[in-house]
Amino acid sequence: MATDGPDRTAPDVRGDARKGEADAWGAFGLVVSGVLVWGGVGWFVSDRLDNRLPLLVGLLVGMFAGLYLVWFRYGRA
Amino acid sequence: MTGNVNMVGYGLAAIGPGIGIGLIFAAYISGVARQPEARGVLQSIAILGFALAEALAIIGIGLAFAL
Amino acid sequence: MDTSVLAEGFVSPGPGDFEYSPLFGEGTFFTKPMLIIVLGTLLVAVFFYLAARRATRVPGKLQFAGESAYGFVRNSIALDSIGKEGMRYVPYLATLFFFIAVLNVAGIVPVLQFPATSRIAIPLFLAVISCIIFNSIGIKRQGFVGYFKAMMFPPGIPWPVYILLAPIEFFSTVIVRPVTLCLRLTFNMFAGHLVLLLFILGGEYLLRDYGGPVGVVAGSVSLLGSIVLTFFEGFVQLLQAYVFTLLSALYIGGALLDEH
Repeated sequence: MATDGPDRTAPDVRGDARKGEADAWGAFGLVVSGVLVWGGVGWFVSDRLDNRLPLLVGLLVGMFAGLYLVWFRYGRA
Repeated sequence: MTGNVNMVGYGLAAIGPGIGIGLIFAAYISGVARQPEARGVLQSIAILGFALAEALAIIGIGLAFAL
Repeated sequence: MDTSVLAEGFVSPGPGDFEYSPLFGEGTFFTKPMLIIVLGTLLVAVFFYLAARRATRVPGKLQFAGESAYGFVRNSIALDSIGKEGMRYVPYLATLFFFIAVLNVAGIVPVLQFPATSRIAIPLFLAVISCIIFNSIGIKRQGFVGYFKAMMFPPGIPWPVYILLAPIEFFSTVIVRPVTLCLRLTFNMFAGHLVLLLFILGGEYLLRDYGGPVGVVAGSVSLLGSIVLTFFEGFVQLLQAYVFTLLSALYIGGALLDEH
C-alpha cells in the first residue's frame, strides 16, 4: 500500500466499535420508522373513520414490523 | 399551568426503557470485558435488546399523543 | 419556602435567546450566527491554506498541525469506517468535520459565545447534503433499481411481508437518517447553550440582584459550575462534530458495499 496510513488489513477492534455504533443507530432508526410509517397510516385511517382503533393497530403493527426488521438485519448471527 | 397529563404519563413510562437500556449495555460491556472474543455474538444480542427496550419508549410516545 | 421570591425579577433563558436581531440595525439581514459562519469558514480555509502552502518533506509547525488534523479525519473516520475506498471521501468528511467543529466551538469562544449549529438551518442543510451524497453513491454503485431493491427488498423474507417492511426500510434510510443527523447536532448545541446561559445569567442575578449570604453562596457556586460546564460543553461540541462526520462516513460506507 503506497499511502502512509495504518495497515487496514489487520483486524481492528476500533473498527468493530464503529460498526456497533452504526448498528445501534440503524436499529433505532428502523423501530422509529416502523412506528412512524404504520402509525401514520393508522392515524390517517383513524382520522377518516373517526375511530381510534386503526391508529392503535397501526402503531403496534409498525412497532412489531420494525422489531422484525431489526432482528432480520442485525440479530441473526 | 397548562399541559397534558398524557405527557406526565409518558415521562414516567420512559423511565422503564431508560433503565432497561442502561442494564442491557452494562451487561454487554461486562460480557465483552470478560470475553473479548465473544464481542460479535454479544453485540447482536445487545442490539436486539436495545431495540426491544427502545420500541417500548417509542410506542409510549405514540400512545401518549394518540390516546 | 416561597419560591416566587426567587423567581421574581429573573427572566430565565429560553428559545428567545437564540433569536438575534441584525447586527447593523433594522432592515439589514446580517446576524451574529451568520457572522460566526463567515468567521468560521474563513478560519478553517485560511488555516488549511497556510498549512498546505509550501508543503515540505520535513513539515514545519503549521504544516504539522494541518496534517495531524487532516490525518485524524482520514485515519480514524474515513479509513476506519469506509475502508480503502474512503480516501475518495476524505475531502468532504474533513470539510464537514472542521466546519461543524468550528461552528460548535464558537459557543464557548469569548465574545462570540453562540454555537451557530444550534440554529436548525445549518445542521439540516449539512444533513441533506450528506443524505444526497450517500444515496447518489449507492445509486451510482448499484444502479437506481438495484440500490432501492437492495434497500427495500432484502432476500429471505416471504413476499407478502414486503408490503409491511419496504416502506419502513425506505423511510428509515431516506428520511430518518438525515433527520436524526440534524436533530442530534442541533439539540445538543441548543441544550448546551441553554444550560450555560442558565448558569451564567442565574449566577449573575443571584450575586448582583438577589444578594445576601444565600445569593452570594448560590451565585458563586453557579458561576464556578458554569466554568466546569464550559469545559464539558467544549468536549460535547467536538464530540458532536465527530459523531456527525462519523455517521456520514458510515452511511457512505454502507452505500458502497450494500450486499444485503
